[in-house]
Amino acid sequence: MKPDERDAVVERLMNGFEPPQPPPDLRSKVLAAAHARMAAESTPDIWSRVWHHRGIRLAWAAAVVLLVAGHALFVPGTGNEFRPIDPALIAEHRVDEYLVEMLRPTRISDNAQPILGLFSAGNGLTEIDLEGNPS
Amino acid sequence: MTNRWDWSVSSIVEAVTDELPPISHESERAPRRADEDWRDLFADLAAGRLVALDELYDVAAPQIYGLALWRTGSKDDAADVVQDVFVRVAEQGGRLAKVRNPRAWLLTVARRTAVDVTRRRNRWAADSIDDYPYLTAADDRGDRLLDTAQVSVLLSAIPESSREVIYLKHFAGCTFAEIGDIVGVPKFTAASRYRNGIQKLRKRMEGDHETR
Repeated sequence: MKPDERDAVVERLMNGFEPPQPPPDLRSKVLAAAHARMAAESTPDIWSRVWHHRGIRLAWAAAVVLLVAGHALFVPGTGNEFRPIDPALIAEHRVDEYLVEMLRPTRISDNAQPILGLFSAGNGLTEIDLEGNPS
Repeated sequence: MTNRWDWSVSSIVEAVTDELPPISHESERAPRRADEDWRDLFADLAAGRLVALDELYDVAAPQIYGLALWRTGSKDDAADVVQDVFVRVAEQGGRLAKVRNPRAWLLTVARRTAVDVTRRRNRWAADSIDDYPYLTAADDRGDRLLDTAQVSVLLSAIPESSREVIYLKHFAGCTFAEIGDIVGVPKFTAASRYRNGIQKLRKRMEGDHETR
């Protein structure tokens, strides 16, 4: 007999069995718990009652309308309203700072003069300043 | 494994061929109600009719209990699963009316609850298979070739992923598509698990016979 046929026999053997039934006393226990939960679910909690209460919903809607109206009527314009800065201006400013920082010459001292040239002295090459004097 | 059994698949084939019903791909075992009946029960529950809960217990509790027993290996855990499932049903209220396949939904909840119970208690099969087998005899014949305890021991030895699929297919009457939804796998995977489970069950029957 091929394995598939033997598997079929196993399936047919299983037909002679059935799974165990739940214990008889389980029914009353389960239904009591389910009924209790169902009754609890049918009783709305405080927030559900608030949400579905017509008077409270009307009061909430009236309060929102009053707040919006009050804000529109009694908050004067101060002239200091927020004005957004042009992003191009911010970018330009940042680029300028960057260029200035990059092009700033590195100097040993603010009083130091630039080297204009060299001349040959007795002891070698000597720097000369703006007036042509050796430094 | 005990060697007290004097049977094998090969030796009993001829004996059972005539006495067993023919194989049917559509399981005829489960007292399967029409899907419309299940939906009507859920609609009644959604409308708050408590008596529908009693009727739902009568038709659904055996399947839920069996699946939970096969999944947890403990009759106490299985009873807890049944209670948890029905409490969850009671919690759903009006949302039950939106469930398209109530039977598959119930078995899905039952399976997840059984997995949670097993994980929470960090153990499996508290009850001895000899004391509480997975199966009982469908009739009272005393000359049965296979004892329920014997088959239960063999079933306990196959992977639970295959065992639960065998239960859902064979005893709950689910299609492979429904089993896939319940277990959370494609239907082809469910079919593969069923086939593998049956093959392992058959090999264990034959292997047990050969070791004698």
